Amino acid sequence: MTIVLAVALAMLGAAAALVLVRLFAGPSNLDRIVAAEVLLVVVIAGVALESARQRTTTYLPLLMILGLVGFVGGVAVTRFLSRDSDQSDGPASEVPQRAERGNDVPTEGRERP
Amino acid sequence: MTWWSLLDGAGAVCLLLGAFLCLAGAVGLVRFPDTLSRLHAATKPQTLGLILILAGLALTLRTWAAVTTLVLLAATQFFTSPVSAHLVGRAAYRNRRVDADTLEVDELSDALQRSRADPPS
Repeated sequence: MTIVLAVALAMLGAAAALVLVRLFAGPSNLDRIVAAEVLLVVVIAGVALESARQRTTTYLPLLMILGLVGFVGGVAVTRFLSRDSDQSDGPASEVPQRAERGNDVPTEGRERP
Repeated sequence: MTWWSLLDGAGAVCLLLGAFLCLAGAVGLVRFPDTLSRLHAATKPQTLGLILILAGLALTLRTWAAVTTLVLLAATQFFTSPVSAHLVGRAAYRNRRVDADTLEVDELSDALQRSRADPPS
């Protein structure tokens, strides 16, 4: 069991290092958000490994809180980024511009009386 | 060979597989060229890797309180990770971070053009 846990911990460490590479080098902030979520999963897995090594249930609330905090943080930052770029992005390329309807800011009643 | 050692062995195998999936997802995250394909790589440790790790932990702990908490955590992850992945993909498309040549089917651009052509009354 000790050897298995050591091997699993080594794999998790390598995974965390690779994710940190992407977190540092990611060309856009969206890549960094994806990398941060994967890094949080790696952290959860590491805490779970420690909990399995000690055979204790002390860390289970920590796992729960880590999962929820990761979700809320990722969604908040993604919403912030998408709203910002919707309004102030450059000219169109091959991917079309955002359509008028379905906008986050409610425009009905202001543009069409 | 008792039942307990059998459960320990199964838990160890699950922990190893989960850690390997985390490593595979990290390798894909580094090597893939696009935000959407990186999202594809990132969902592997987020769902199956985490489920395997938590199953291994449950098989190792073997108490009902631990099992219910871990099932709750796995269900939460199942419900929340598609939401955040959807948001990241949506923001990537709207930010024109998507390489249009790598897409086999692009139904969203057709839908956006149609909705721009005839706006709702």
